Amino acid sequence: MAINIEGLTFHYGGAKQSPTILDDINLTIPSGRITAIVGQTGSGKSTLVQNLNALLLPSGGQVVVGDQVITSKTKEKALPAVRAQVGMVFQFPENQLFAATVLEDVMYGPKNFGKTAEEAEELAKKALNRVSLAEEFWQRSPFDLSGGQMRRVALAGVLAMNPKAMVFDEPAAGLDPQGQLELLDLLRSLRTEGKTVVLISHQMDQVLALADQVVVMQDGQVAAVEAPDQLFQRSRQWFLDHSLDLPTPVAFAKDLEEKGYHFDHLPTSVADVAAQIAKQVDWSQVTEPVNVAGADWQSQQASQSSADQVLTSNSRGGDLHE
Amino acid sequence: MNAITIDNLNYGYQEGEPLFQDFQLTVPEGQWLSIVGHNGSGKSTLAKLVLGLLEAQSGDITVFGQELTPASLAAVRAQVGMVFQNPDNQFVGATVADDVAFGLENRQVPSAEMPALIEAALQQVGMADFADREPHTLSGGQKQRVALASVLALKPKVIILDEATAMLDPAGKSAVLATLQELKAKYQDQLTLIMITHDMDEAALADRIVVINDGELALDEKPAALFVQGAALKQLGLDQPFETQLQEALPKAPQQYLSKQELAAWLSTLKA
Repeated sequence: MAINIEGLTFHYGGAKQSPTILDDINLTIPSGRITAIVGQTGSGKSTLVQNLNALLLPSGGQVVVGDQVITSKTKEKALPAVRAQVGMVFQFPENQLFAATVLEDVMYGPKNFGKTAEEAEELAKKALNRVSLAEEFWQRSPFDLSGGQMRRVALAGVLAMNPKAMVFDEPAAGLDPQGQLELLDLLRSLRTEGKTVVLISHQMDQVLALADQVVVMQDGQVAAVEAPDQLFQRSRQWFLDHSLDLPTPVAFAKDLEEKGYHFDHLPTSVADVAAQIAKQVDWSQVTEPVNVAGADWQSQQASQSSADQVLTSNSRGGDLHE
Repeated sequence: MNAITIDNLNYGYQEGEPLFQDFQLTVPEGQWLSIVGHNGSGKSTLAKLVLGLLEAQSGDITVFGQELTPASLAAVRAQVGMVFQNPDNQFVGATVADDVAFGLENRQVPSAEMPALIEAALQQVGMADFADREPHTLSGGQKQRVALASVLALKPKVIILDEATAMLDPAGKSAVLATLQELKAKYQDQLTLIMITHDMDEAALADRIVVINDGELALDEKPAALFVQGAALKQLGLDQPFETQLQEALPKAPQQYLSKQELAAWLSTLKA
């Protein structure tokens, strides 16, 4: 189910004087693809995605979700059908949790959309397994969980409703590296199932690893819509102007290009950067052990630290203060 | 003088499921400490115990020589400011300025002095232009900077940041980190910073990194010494920084931690 955004404008309230948040957005979000929406704080990303499931209605223009057209005139009673199609995982997961137990929380959505208690429970358990939340947590209060665990419950709550499109607002923020990897896998599997996946993220490493299409927002307008390998070819200055980071491997490659290295394709991982560097250096000329001038404070710090480590083991608790 | 001493701490959310068992940690005054660890490892719980938001089953927590007890709670909290991951849970004021004023009012700061203090605090986080805005009209990143301003206005001796930059965009994040570095440079040993984070680039700013794993203190190192321990970090569910991973993926490289700039500089000498 594709989502088409046609001439969308948005400002809060009916009043003309309220500032325009979204200004004439035209965009297609295809199904079976991951679309990343990036842009600095206040660029309109969150407002844009809230228009995708009719949490906000357009001030002008329209949003077409499957066969449903949403405009400023769309009646309240038409909105639940849209929201059943487009699931949202918000930035702060604890805001969308409310039930007494984790399991009940995840069951709420399917029950609300007409499933029996048994069906809802089955869907909920499946969803909780899919986000790797261990069974020992299912009967606990969602508010006793850590931030990362709450994120999983909120994700499961949306998965259990099986919407055709899913929107994730900074889904990886606050997750540890393992949790981030699992999340990337989850989004990829949703793509494989043909879902329409929208991801808001500041983390360009993830955008590079995941997205098929990147939408760059600036001041309520679309500044670019490109595939990641095309977008990240743009100059460093362009990313500075849009207050965006470059993915770490790309940024490092651009640094090295200024120092005479050449990258024949945009590197997407550490291994990729290493491989491209490796073939440009005559390693037989590099003598071991390798020493680096100018990194003195680092080595000093490292050796001091091992001395401190001895101290630490003697004085439990450790006092590394200088 | 130690800012915080945690001695023989025992705590668990549920009976029979201990998280911290005889946990020890000492944070000297003026240190910049990063606490890292996978989700659910106990990092945030530790911060809440120090602030007395959770009560330990046993053990002692001492803040600047003062033991944390129900009677000393207010005095301890006056010295420790905390910025949480979710700023929505820490907003009380009708406007941004009101929100910063709230803490000052609690400290009975004379109202004539407040505007200047509020302005200075908001200035430090780049939010001075938003003083009259209603908090709900701000984005997550802007809210977080206001939350930091509210803490800064109270001039605490310790600031604990619990993944406070996790939700910020690059500009907001570097503004907050730069602010922290400025504050640290200005107050030096007068300010102790404790930063809970997953971000190794951020953790690298600290003097010391402590890795917590399921309530245990797994590693306690300076950043440069920690980052070269790839296998240990991986086992603890954490990543090495990009530059260290790259260094290890190259055919030959120095056997010491190099920052991205240092690594790029070294690589440029091979190309000459």
